[in-house]
Amino acid sequence: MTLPRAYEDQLVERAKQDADAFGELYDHYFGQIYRFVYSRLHEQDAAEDVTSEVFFKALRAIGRYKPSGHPFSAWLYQISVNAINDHYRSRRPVSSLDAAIAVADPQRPVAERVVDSAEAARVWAAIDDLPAQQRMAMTLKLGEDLKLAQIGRIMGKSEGAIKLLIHRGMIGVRQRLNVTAPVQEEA
Amino acid sequence: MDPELEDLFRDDPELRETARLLLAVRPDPEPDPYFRNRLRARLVTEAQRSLRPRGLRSWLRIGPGYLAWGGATLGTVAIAATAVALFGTRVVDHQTVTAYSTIAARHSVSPSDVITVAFNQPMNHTAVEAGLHIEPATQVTTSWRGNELVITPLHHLAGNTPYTVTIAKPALVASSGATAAKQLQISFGTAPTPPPAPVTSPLPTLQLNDLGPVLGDSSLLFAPDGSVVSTAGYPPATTSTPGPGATAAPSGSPTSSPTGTAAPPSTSPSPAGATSSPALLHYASSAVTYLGPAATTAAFAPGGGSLAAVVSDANGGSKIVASQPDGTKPHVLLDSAAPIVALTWATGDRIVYATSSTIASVDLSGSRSLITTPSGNVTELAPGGGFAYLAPSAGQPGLLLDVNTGATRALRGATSGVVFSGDGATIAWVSSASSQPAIVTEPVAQDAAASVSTQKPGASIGSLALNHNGTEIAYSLTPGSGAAQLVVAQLPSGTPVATGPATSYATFSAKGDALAVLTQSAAGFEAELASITGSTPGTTPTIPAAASSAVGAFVDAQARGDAQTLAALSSNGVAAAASTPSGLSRSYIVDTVVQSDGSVLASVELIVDPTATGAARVADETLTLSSSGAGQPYLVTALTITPLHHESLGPHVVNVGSTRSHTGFLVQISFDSDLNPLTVPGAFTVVTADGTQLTPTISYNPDTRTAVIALPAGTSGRLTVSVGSALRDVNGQPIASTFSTGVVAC
Repeated sequence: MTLPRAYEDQLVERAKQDADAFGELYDHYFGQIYRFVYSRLHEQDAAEDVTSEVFFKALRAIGRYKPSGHPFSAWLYQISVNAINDHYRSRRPVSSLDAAIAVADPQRPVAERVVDSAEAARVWAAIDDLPAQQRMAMTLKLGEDLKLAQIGRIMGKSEGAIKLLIHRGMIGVRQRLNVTAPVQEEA
Repeated sequence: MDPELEDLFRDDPELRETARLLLAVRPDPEPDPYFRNRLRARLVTEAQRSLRPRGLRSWLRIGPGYLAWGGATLGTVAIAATAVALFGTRVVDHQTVTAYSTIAARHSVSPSDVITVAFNQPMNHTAVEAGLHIEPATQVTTSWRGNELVITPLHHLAGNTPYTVTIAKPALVASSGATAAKQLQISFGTAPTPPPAPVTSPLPTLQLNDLGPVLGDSSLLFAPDGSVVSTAGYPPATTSTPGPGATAAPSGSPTSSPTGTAAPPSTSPSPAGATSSPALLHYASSAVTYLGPAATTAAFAPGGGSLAAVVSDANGGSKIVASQPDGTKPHVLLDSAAPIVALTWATGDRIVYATSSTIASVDLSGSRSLITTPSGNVTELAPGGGFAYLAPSAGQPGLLLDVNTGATRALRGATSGVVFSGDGATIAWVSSASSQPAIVTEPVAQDAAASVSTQKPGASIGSLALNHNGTEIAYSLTPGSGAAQLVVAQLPSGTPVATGPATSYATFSAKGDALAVLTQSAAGFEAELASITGSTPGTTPTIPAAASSAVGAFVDAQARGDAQTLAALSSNGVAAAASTPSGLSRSYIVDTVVQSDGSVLASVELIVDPTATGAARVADETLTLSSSGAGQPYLVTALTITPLHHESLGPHVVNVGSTRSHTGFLVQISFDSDLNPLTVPGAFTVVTADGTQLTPTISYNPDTRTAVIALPAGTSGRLTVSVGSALRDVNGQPIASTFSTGVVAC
């Protein structure tokens, strides 16, 4: 859910001086940010650590925030992307390639393979083995329903570049689910 | 699917399918609520330290003692800690003692929440409880979890209400004997949802008459004679044959049509009592008649001269089959490669239909015309085809599409379950925009959403249905505990007029005097018919739905400072935004009346919630709304607003409603405070236009804080209802100010 823009702008301005207003922003965006972070990290403890980091960074920086025509959430996602990257830099990511391959059975249509939530989670895990930029773009688009322009702003790329990343990412997921070709590396 | 993804993979069905799969199975992790609350507490505490002006820092005096104590306590008790007060002790070590509440300074606390106050040391329970005071007056029970006081309202908190909880300084005594330096005060507001709808007592219960077993996704519709048709019912063995013309399959249809007395042979398991495959069935009083093969949707033409049904073409697409109302003379009007998701009649001979991506029309000769290709997935068409609902996408709420102009507007919080009134002029949906689901209605011609009160705030809501002119709504209500039920309520007040067993689908008859519903049991789904006894739509003077929505949207916009919406809902020359006090926390409509010239007068309260340093402030507002003609939107043509002032103590009237029930005429007056029921009967007077004082029966519903003034059947004309100073809340405080209102009983 997106807050009405005028209300959100007012709330952000108030949050620069008012703890309650910041609390209201937190109430509104916590779920989105936690979900996004969790979808990248898959570990509750890590997701909680990074989510905390995101909101504390936001609190420290909100005085410098200036509305840019994009929702406030775009700024929070931007902080999240950086925090996730920091997290990965400090830890070696766990590969979920095995999990992705576990659902692969070229003899069956993909739709038939998604029969329960566990298998569904493994299908989604195919995104994890994509190159980092594709993975981020795919997660923001398919996990968070953001517009291409918003993703571009968050990732510092053009809308066309985001389209390319998502297109290549989708090919990569498809290949992983069918195990028909090696992963296409990011350009 | 997201239009951007559709566009991106337009030429690659495999990738599009992969995207659909990923969307369908994306993870939805549930965050640990304890973590969420703990993090909030840390952030707010840090924000108070770093954001607040210097002068307040010394007042809060958060120190290491808090952190040490917090670490020990918060490990097991989830507390979104906001500092609410500090009080020093007389002990020589100058220990700082602190109290925290989970809800202090919040503006949208759920009415079903409890109030908690966590102390940093063992307290004298008796003393603390004795010093507890809540405004507005609220009966509570108290309990303790270690050092945490749990205050549980006896009848829930009132919705959309500012509260102040105080514990007097002398009552803040620790077990050690330590005392406080100042009183404890917690200020908060409840969620900006409407107050609970008044209850007419006793409510009639809908009596359901079984029509027959149906598929769970069958829809129901009323035939012109008031009988019911199901789109996918299981024919009993004695199903009547259709008329002679219907014995042949529709031309071009791959689906067999019955040719004898028996319905088509069974091809799938049927529920108990059913013998055949589902079919389009007509339930008359004496027999069940086969109208055609099972359909996904169907509609009778205006005047009832034709029936149109959408049936699967077995290739993933749909056919539209038109026939006589009794199913005879069926013929296929068109075969669409894409599934048809909605169908309605624009005129007696022209059908408007929608696939997920197009809206088109076809006439009875089969001539087609594309109307529009909306940028979104169509899921519903308004009767008549003038408007359509587009499903949410890309994190945005669903959209209402004006089919003729192509203009769209967002429906706040709309996801699914959207319905139109029979005349197509009103739309209703369950909003997920706030923490609690809410029913919202809006005229299709105006961006003026209004929330509808329900009996149980927080309960899950589904199966919406609107009657023909949008003056009544049916919905299923599933509370967290207790049985689900079907509620039929008047609009815009939300006043229930009948309840019944839980249903998974409901639709009103054209006259609004009956409901066709689907119920579910272990044996499967059943189509049932209920007459709405006790409800006499049209006899109660109601506010036009468009006016009600406009008032609701206007005061909502005032509360959130939305100047754009205020301007859109105001006539030229009305400086609504400039006249509205800034910093409002909430607003509510006390009373709405239609004046003799057709304009609508609304009494509104605009509220700034209390803070730790100041009491609540209110402004009294009177709005006048007028419409330039039938079908035209209502706009605010005049408004008067008093300056903000401190709210006086005592009960305040928060809502007035009236309704004609099966027992007579009822006026309901709701309050923000728990009332002393003994003072209620003597506090109300009802006087007719000629000065005659009536002697109504007066009762009080403590669950909704509502006094119900029942006047006998036959009462009519303009009445003046007054509330006098004899009314007391449970603390003995008299009503804040005497109150009078005019209602029309007709």
